[in-house]
Amino acid sequence: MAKSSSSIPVRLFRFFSGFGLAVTCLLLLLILTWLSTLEQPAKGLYEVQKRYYDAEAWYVVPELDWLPKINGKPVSLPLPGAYLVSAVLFVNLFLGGILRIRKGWKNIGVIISHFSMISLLIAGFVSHHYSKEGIMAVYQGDTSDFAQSYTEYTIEVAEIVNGEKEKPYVLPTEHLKNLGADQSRVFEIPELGFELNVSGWMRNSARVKVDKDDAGKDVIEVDGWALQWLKTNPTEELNLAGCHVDVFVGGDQEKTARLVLHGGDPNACTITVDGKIYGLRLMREIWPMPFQVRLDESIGEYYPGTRKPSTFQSDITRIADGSEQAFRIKMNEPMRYGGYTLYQARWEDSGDRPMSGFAIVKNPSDQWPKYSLYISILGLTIHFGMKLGGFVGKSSKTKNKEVTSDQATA
Amino acid sequence: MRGYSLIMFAFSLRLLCISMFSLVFCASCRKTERIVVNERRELIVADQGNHSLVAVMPPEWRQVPSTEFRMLNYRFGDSGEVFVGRSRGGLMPNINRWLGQFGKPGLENADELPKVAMLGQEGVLVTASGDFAGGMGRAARKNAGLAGVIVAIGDQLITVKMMGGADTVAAEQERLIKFCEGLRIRSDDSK
Repeated sequence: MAKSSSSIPVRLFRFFSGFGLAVTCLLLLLILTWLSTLEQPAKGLYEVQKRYYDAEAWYVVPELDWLPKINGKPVSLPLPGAYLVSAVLFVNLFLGGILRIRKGWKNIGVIISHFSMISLLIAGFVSHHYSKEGIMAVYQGDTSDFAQSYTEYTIEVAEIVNGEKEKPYVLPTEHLKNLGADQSRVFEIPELGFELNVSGWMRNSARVKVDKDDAGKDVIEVDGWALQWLKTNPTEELNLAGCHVDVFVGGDQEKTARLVLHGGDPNACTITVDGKIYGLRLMREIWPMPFQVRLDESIGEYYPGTRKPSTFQSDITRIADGSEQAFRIKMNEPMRYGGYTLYQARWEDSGDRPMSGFAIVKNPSDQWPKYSLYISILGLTIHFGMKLGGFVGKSSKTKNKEVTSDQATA
Repeated sequence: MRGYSLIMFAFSLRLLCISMFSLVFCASCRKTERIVVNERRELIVADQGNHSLVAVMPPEWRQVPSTEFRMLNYRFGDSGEVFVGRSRGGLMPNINRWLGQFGKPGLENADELPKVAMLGQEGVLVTASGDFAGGMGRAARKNAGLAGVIVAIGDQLITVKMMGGADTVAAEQERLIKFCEGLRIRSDDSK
């Protein structure tokens, strides 16, 4: 036996390009998809996606009622996160399905199919990291130029000059959403010369009125208001986050103010630093659009006796670069512009004017899964076509042989 | 061959677990970061606020979240508050309701009250001090003060009301008047 075959790099290469690893990854992905689907009704889509599929979810412990219990506690069964498994599968497919596979015309279909799976995984990666989605809610007759995240909160800090808000500084959502209730994080805004210490993060909360005298040790009261922790709603869009913010100013980091911020507040809480007024607001992340949408007409109908819309459509005017263009957005008929896709996701007619909610998606890999499937179809057609051709050819040869031998026997 | 596959399968699983736990360990070892924020976003239509009033507040006040009946809500000092709201029911009934909260007799008309220019109209300044009887969710209070401006805009009233300790309100009254004079309605408002 060649000695080099047992060297560590070769063994590693064989392991990472091996069939065993591919099967393990695919089985794990199957199990993770199955378990996450089962967990979704109780925990909600957002929670399940975060726990099973996030890049930071290295492992997941399924929380299902029917799991066996030991001493009343459900069995803890840690599994690797779907992102990690997909990353390993990507390496495996590249090494095994592209590099290691025997090259030749016989395998061309298989190589193309492997390539399609790799491109599908790349599409997932790009979508996970670079796609953005939000909702633009517009009342009939109004104009909007922004979308707002369904779930992600941020804190905006803006100077207020003559009653008007200046361009706000935006605290990154990724550093807020993972903040635990007993954790704190410092955000420094060098251009404003102060720091914010965000603590007491609550994923769902209510702002409640409290008396200064009644506020206990555990209750942080500011200007007669405090936050009350609420159980997380499985529908993440309904959760209203809350937090405490301590503002430190100057080189000696003197504490200037403490604020209680709540996701349901319609306007900012202010602080004054060196005579300048700054507004701080906890809100769902704003996503400015490079165009404006004016809702000219919003039409819809509810299912009888419900508040669930059965049909809706919107006549809009898109205003961009000084020109106006009319569009009709209907179910499954979105408007595409500048890499953005706008499709109607909501409709309400509860107030004096109807409201249309447009889901806005910007995903660089939007069409890649479709192309991957086309590549896959091509690869599998070639492969099965060649196999079929081979089988037909072989069968006719055998048949000819049998006929010849029969004739010879006769 | 079957045995080899099984060994490979077990080995794959083991490696996955090892890589998974080492990554988890590394993630937990990360120190608490200090995050520097430089990103600013462009202004949007919604940054103009959820109503058409534009107010220039003095830096000594603090804006707090608005409520159903308070379009704009401010605090000052330890317990002083200023709030802007809409009201109906006529000028005189509102003036007399405010005075009544302090046990003061009602007025026949607003001619004798000082005038304040607000939102392009002539508003009236109502002041009172003494024992506040409570109301609208606020507890009764001794030695309290009130200073407020009411202006009629069309069929509704815009009110700016300051409440707090009698001395504090008296000391803050000048800022209140300046605040009222600075209130404006957004001209390019599409709401």
